[in-house]
Amino acid sequence: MLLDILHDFAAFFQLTAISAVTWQMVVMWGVCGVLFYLGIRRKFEPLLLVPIAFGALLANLPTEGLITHRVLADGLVESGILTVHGTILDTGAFRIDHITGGLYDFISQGIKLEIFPPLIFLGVGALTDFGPLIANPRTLLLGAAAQVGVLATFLGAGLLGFTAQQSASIGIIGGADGPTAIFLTSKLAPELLGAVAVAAYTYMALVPLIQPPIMRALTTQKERKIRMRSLRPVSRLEKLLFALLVTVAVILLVPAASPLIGMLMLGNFLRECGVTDRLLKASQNEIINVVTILLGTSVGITMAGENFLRAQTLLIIALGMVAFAFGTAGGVLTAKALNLFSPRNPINPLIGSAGVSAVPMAARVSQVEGQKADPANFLLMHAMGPNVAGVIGTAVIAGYYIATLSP
Amino acid sequence: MMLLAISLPEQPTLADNLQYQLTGLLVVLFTLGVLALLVALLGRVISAFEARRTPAHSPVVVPAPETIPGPVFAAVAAAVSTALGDHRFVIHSVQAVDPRLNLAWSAEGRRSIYATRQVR
Repeated sequence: MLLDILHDFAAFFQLTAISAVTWQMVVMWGVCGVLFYLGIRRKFEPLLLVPIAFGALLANLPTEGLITHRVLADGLVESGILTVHGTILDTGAFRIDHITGGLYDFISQGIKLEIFPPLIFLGVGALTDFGPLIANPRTLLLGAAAQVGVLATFLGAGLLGFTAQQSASIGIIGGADGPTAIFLTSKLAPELLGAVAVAAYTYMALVPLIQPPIMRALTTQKERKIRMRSLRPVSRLEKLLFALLVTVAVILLVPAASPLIGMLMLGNFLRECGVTDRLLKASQNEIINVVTILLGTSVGITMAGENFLRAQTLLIIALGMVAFAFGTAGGVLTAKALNLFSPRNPINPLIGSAGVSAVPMAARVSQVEGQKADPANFLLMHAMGPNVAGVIGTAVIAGYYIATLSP
Repeated sequence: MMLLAISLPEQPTLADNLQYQLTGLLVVLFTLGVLALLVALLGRVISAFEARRTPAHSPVVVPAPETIPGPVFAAVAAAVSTALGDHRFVIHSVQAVDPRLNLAWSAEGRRSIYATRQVR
């Protein structure tokens, strides 16, 4: 009898998935552990890093009914594959009978079809007050200048052997805008999605460590003490017209940025119009929260060990740091340059660094650095101008890359 | 549509890449520069429009309480304490916000944004 029990137990053991565990999976469990530590213990963008890490854990377990993987010729793993069953009719048309796939084969279509990032932008728009930007439109130029980091990193990635599409996806990390980075990468270089998303969100959390040394190196004590004129109050009508203006102008100039800018400004219009309270609350809370969970886990589930454990992942993480550094420097130096043209109404160059987006973390760094030089100086609301301008700037540069590099 | 005419060769040289990136920078600066001009213009038009709508000799009198009532002060202190958690703080003054500035929307936006971040 004991022998029978042991025999049955051995038979059961063969039904388990333990034998399907590979060394890449085990290493990735360690990587997931690091991401959990950064998100939970160190609170590095936990709303994104925790779902990404959990998705990565699921990607590196021998799951069933969750997601379909396919190994490509170059050894990479493609995830999220739906199988369409149907019949070819006499007319030549194809009739779909049913579609099969695991849970995340369906959910991850939100990234493949570029639905999730624009929906996140809807929530971001609903949460953003563009008042400081409208009160001081010059700060739009700081948001544009901070994109220097994206462009410089593109060049660096190209020199290291990445394709143009991959270089654009790596460079966009410097925009410090997670949804835009995911949107662009899923379009141009989906094989890099996991590494780019992890780098983007990790560095966004590290903004308070990365930016201050660069800001201090590029400014004098006198410049850091500059007090800016108080911002004028902005009326609701002005905010409403701003949302319409940005929508029309940016879509006309860079149509490829339409999904991001359109949803960003829709969310902001709901916020400012004052008569769509329920829609506003849904955008600010339910929609953005639900989509964040689905987006984060869908990104994480692309991080199969075969894709992530490559030398190029380390290169992407290193290049992401370069992108942030150049973006910070670009914003600060442009603020200094603007002061040459308007000495009577100077800009404190510390707010230039906020042009890298990372709302509102980068603006808070400007405030903290400003107060180190002059404890009575309040730069926060001034820095919110370039900060939200950076969101628009990153969407525009993403539109430029999509328009020119899409296959 | 103009953007569709820009392309990068299959095997771009450093000069090709540089030209492509400088064009990209120009696109961003041009787009946001145009926006800055339009927003500045919009601000002036609206200011002029609102100045014309408001009669010059009808100042709005806003009654402002001379002192903040004790219970209100206690409620503000409790709210600050809840928001900052374990952080030490000192409230130096509490002032009523001028309702003419209509800051409620922007204040709520800031509150929402900061509520998602840990106070450090």
